[in-house]
Amino acid sequence: MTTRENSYGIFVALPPPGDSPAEAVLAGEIASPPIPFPTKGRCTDLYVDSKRSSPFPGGRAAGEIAPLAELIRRHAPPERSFEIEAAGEETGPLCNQAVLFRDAGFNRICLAAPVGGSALLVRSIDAARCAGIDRIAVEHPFARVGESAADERERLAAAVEAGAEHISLVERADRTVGEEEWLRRYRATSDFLRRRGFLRYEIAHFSLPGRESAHVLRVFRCGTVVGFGPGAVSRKGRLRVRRPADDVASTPFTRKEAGETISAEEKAWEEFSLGIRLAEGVDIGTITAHPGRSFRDALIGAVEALAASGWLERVGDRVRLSRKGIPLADKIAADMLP
Amino acid sequence: MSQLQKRIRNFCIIAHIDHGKSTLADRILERTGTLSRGEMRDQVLDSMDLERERGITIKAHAIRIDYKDATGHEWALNLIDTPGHVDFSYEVSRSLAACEGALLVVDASQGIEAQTIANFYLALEHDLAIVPVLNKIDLPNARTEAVKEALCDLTGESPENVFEISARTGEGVDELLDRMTDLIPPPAGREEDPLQALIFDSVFDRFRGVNIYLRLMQGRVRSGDTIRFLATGDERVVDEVGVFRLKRVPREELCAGEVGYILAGIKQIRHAQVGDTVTLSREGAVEALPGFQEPKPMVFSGMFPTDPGEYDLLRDALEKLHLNDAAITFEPESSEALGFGFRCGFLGMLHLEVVQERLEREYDLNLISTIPSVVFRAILNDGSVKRVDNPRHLPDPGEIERIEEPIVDARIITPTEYMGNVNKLIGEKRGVHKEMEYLEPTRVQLRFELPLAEVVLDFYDRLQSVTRGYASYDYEHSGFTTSDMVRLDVLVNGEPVDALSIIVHREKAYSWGRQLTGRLKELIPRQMYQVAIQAAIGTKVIARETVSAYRKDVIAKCYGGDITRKRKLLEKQKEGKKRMKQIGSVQIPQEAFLAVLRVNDDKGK
Ligand SMILES: Nc1nc2c(ncn2[C@@H]2O[C@H](COP(=O)(O)OP(=O)(O)OP(=O)(O)O)[C@@H](O)[C@H]2O)c(=O)[nH]1
Ligand SMILES: [Mg+2]
Repeated sequence: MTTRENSYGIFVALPPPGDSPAEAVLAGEIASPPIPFPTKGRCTDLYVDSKRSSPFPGGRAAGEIAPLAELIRRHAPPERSFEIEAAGEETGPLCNQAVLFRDAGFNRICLAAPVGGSALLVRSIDAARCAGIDRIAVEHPFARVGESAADERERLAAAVEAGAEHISLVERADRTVGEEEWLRRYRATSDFLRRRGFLRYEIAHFSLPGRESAHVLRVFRCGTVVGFGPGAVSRKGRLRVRRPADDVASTPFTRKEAGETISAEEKAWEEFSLGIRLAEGVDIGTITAHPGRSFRDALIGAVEALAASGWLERVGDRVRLSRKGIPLADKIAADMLP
Repeated sequence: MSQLQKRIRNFCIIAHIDHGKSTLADRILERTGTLSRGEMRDQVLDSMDLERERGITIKAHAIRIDYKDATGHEWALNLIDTPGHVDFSYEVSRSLAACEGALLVVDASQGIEAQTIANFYLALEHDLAIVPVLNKIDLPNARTEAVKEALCDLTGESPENVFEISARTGEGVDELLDRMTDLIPPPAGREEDPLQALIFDSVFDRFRGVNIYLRLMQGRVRSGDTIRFLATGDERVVDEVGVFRLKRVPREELCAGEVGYILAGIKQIRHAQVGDTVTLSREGAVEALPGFQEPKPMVFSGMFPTDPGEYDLLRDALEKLHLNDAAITFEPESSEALGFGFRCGFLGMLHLEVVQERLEREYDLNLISTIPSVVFRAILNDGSVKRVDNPRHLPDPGEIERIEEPIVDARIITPTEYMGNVNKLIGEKRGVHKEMEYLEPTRVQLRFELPLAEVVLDFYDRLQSVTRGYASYDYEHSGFTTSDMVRLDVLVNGEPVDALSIIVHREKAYSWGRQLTGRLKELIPRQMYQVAIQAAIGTKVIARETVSAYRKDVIAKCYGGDITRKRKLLEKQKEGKKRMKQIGSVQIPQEAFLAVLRVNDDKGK
């Protein structure tokens, strides 16, 4: 797994439904995306996220997905690996529209598993597969207060059984079980998935071999992403642009003032703190090439110390969190903030 | 004596803390029309922010009053309002040296308190005319008669000579003003004699340099004169002389008996030391006035900037503050745990707090101060004596023959119902009862000998809590005594934290060790490693606590394309870390260094 320098992803955050002007702009924009960047390279994944609304929920016409389809058509490279994924918070609407998504070119769908039972999730997975989308990812609420370990496991097992190829553990900071319980569940969940052939390619993401999410990998490898839609984030190198929550018209990377250029240190920190979470790890030599000396020395020193005491482990010339280090990923990241 | 001089009265107001000195000064200023309505406010002489916030006087304040009495006579009064807290008694004694009289104020609802007695004796030593004043007679719980009797017992005055006033309502203040001029004598000393003036205070002013506050014993001085400081032999030309009326009011000259200021372009306080005598260079020799005993710091503590880059700022600030508060001492100190700072000496805990607060506020510094220590004497095997004001500098036990600790004579005044509690507390604090005297049938004065080390830490708080705030105390350094003292060290994961060492009595070492480690356990956040906190005497560990390691600090899924959000959260985590000190591999929050002092939580006045 290596980062392809000249590839980028497109991240589309969908506006709330019924917000017609915004939608129209988005639709128009997506129909002919004024993407001044990247000028070269190719889009290898498209991720459509809808955290603030369900994508195209009930009653929308297929035509409404047309702009997306157009976007996909323009950017889809000929090879089949091109990944087009839709993710939504609510499973029902997403699966109801599965056929529309398929027709629009989606080949991957990410379903959120509702807490409290697996019936709806299983139905949704079936619907997606019937529609011909066979790459199904599940967002699995994890270690949530109020749900027993057994119930949680039952949901997970159902998702795997129904044919999910990708599981993400999602947690809510304010609703997570106690530390010891968390550790137990994390271990048990990892073991359970491993026994079913899943690999932990990132500490919260598991997939069958070769079925990693291109988008997830791109994010954790700090790759280039062009974001559209309200609140969507674009990133390229040290440049960050977050589109306003109510503005869907502006173009990422052209309006400089809307963006932020992070320092070489901050960038190295991002690459470090995200990269160590990946099973492939991160190449410390590469990420420390740019930041200033004191940060570089501190980072290299910390990596040695953390490796010596077993929080990090080496894989070839890269490092990653060890089994013991995984539960402290945030602590390690926070300690290394520039 | 000149006509003018006959009409001068120099007096100060002395009392126990909060008995109403500053409020009485307000009424006097009001009645005499000294300040305009616009200038007037409550406790107007308490001009420092800190004084106003805490509602206490910290520094003595002098003010000149022109007063025309009922018969049309004009008077020049110099009033000096003094602080009541024991830590600032150095201010009182300097003020007394500038006066012929003192108003001894007693709160009629509280009665005689420890500083009433201490200040009374101070005034007596200075040979001042003492005017007994019962204040707060307006209060419903005033015990005017009983307190008056006690006050008479103390001062030897007859009851009819005790003034009964309310500084709040103004009742009785006119009569006091009227009679005061009879009861307090005018200053002696001839204008014609060579100048002899006592520097009783000095204040540094960024623009004009050192303001010298002086009391002319004899002679006169005007601007353009060349003055000489007897202690240093320095000579200076006077730029300006004048009196105080909240601000400086320039005058042509100051004469024998007057209290005022001199500006002479002096940039460094050591050229105009408090207690020095000033004369005119052309007039030749006069005798040096007795001056003052150097204030002796009783409590020492390390002060360290939380930001190591602020060391130079701290030094500057201490130097400036020292100009206005000669009682502070400081010398550079370095600590492994806290970096570079200063070992500072203070008159007591309130003084320490005030100085720290002024440094933080007026000089915008963030400071950590270490556990206060008194000065011990280590008598070494070769007979030499080493003064130890910092536990880290205590020589190796093998080299020490014995350790002596400072002791004080303490006076505690309490309602009789709390006597049992007070005695018990004194026992805990290794005190020895000396005598007891009834001031009133229900109030008693107890005298003890106590180790100073026990007094500085939490004595005040404990005394207040066992007497529900009804007791007061005062103490005076009385010498050294041999004690079984040991140095208690704190180790964090085996590394000694120098800033947390303390010299304690062996019997107390165990409970201190337990308290300290317990407190630290609460304060040190969990980290990636288990943290062992130990208290040890030499190599012997006497208490131990463990902070268990972090088990988990991660939120499984990072939100989509946006790590910025996560970074914000982690930055918050890191914010807290900034105020941490790294000891070996362990991060200790800065509060830990302070909080170990706060043995009981309800600290404060
Ligand atoms: N009822 C009543 N309250 C008074 C009287 N005189 C003073 N007080 C109150 O007593 C409190 C202390 O008064 P201060 O004048 O600040 O006392 P102080 O003696 O100057 O105190 P320190 O300078 O801190 O020693 C204030 O709240 C005053 O308002 C009085 O005659 N009657
Ligand atoms: Mg006062």
